Amino acid sequence: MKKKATIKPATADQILKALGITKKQAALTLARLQAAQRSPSARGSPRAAKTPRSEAARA
Amino acid sequence: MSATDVFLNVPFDKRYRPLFLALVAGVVAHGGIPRCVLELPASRNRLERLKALIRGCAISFHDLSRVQASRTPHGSTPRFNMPFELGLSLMSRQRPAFFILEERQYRLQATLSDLNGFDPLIHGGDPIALLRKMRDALRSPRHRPTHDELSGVFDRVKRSIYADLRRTGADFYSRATFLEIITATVDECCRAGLL
Repeated sequence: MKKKATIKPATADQILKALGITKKQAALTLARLQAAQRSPSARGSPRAAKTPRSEAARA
Repeated sequence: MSATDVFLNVPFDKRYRPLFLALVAGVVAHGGIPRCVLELPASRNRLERLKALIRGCAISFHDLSRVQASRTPHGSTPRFNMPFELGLSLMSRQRPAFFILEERQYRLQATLSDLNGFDPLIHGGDPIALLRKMRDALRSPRHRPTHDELSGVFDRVKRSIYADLRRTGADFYSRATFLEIITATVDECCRAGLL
């Protein structure tokens, strides 16, 4: 285990591209996230979200 | 193998959500690309894909704070995913740069004594403490984010992802949400002048 690791920094576009996120998808996601924050239910913790199967499987 | 890709090996439970967001924020703010098993589709060759993903990452973070028995429909069973992926990570790369994360001091000595002599990064279950540890662990030749910059990015991403989850009821630990978290984090880092 190293004390410190040096990252060779990527640009924003490179990060998105590496994960297969297109610019169009990113724009749509950001628009949706902004809309979610403006909605009346935006305050509080996300307790309403169910505990999904993936969490039960690996938790 | 790229020193840009950073493998995140963490537990997928509700309590870990803010820590996961902090890890992603810490990696992206340093210009790294967070990689995680969530990217992989559930398929028969999942293990091979996982090995390929790990091999492609020069740096990895492994949180062993949930290596404990937990109640499942099959009784009380220990969780092996995180130590298993740590083993894969150590075996599949030469001279890996890896970091062990733990919630409590000295617990690693009890759960994985083979790693005695290594100092885990203790976060105490606190995402802000984890961001401090990540800032100590990572170095970027381009820009060293301040703690305030990191916690600002984390805060804003958390608020927006939680608001979206509350609205959609979506699975936090899914491929779709993982990509949303990356998108939101990249956007906040750009706004903060970190990318």
